[in-house]
Amino acid sequence: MIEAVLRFVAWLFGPSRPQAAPPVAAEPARYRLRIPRSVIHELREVTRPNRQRPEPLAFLRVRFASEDSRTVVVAVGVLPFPDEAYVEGPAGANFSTEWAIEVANAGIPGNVGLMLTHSHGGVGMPMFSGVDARTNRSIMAALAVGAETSPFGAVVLSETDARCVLAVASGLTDTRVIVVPDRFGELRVSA
Amino acid sequence: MNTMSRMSFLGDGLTWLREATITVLGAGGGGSHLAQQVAHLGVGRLPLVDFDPLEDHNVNRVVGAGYKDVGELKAALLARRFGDLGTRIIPVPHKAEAREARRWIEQSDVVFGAVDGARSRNNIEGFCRAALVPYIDIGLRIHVAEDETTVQAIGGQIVTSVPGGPCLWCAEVVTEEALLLDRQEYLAGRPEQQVVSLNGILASQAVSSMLSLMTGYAPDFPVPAVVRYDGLTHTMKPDPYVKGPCPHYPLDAAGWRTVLPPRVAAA
Repeated sequence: MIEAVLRFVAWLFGPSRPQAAPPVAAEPARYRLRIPRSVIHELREVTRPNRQRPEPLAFLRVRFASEDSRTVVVAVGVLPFPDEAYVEGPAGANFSTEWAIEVANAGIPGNVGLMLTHSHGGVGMPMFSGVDARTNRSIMAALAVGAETSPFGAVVLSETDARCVLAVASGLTDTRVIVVPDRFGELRVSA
Repeated sequence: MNTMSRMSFLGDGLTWLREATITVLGAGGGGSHLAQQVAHLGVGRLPLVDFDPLEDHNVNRVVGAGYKDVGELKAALLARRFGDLGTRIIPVPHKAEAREARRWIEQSDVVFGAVDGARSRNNIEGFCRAALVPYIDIGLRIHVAEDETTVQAIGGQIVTSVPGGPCLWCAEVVTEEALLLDRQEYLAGRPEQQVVSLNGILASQAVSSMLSLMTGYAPDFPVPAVVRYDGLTHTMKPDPYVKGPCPHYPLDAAGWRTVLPPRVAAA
């Protein structure tokens, strides 16, 4: 925990950009986030604005596809922000970085990284706002520093599409979101 | 009429196909049928993985091969033979379980497997499940009596293995016994019986399953996880007894883990 806080502080005030997971020269080097249909459905459910929260947040729990791969990320679960993770602040949704660091540290032994996720609603391809971009840079890219076995980044959702950025050595890179048909989405074998 | 007007029922699926990467593992009896059909669909990229050269006893069932091609790598040969169908075929002359093949698996939208043996199937499915890539496996077994002329059974299956859904273990295509048998047959050097027509039936159904699954052209008719083929009665049926959720590959176990959890016992 202390180590992660120090890393975060070092990143904020240090001279260099974050050095995330090393890039793999494997061809083709397209960045992809694969997410089962049931998981993206759950993610939309928990990030949909409601009476208590105008902009609910969640972490998408993710891993790299394999030891060799730093270009393909797979979604393994959803962690909605609990009430205690939110703090007062100027943005639509403000959260405790201490809590985020704690969650990030807890996932690292299982190679689990985090994608900060929120929804802009509507249809079509959503865009990260200026505030989103700053948060992604200052928090999610910082969490990736030194965490070479776990991917970090951010996702913004609409009701039909999703946009993702992944922390890599050079900063945050656009990552294609691929929704994968899964058992709960499409296969219904009846006797 | 344009080049795809006979496939317009696929709707947006045509765009998906044009951009898709569909890997075929194995360029033998089953894989050559799969590669040919996928190439005809006009997909973006078709990595074709096989490290073997063509031998004269392969020619009777490798679609697109001739006797003059004996000695050439099968993957390279088929890439050349089917290379003018609007699909970029990338020959990958490695074993299906090699690191080079695995990179393509991870970059794929769908993977087809037409490989020999339970061990390879098991490993490939493990790679696909880790990378959340749908995997469609075909397999054929012709049981011949001791006299080597009487056919006792012809059994085949197409397993559509998607995240969370039934896997090859659920379908009992991979079992502890099959893994052991695999090794015994390998050591004995016994050739498996194969014939071009039966391979073609399974490959055609597998490609049809892929089209339905990925383009969703018939959403009210979901793709069965397992389709069984009986070559003696000439019937093909979905297996109603193989259902998810899969206890062997839970969704939250996808991806790379430095420390692997113990395998969950078969249900």
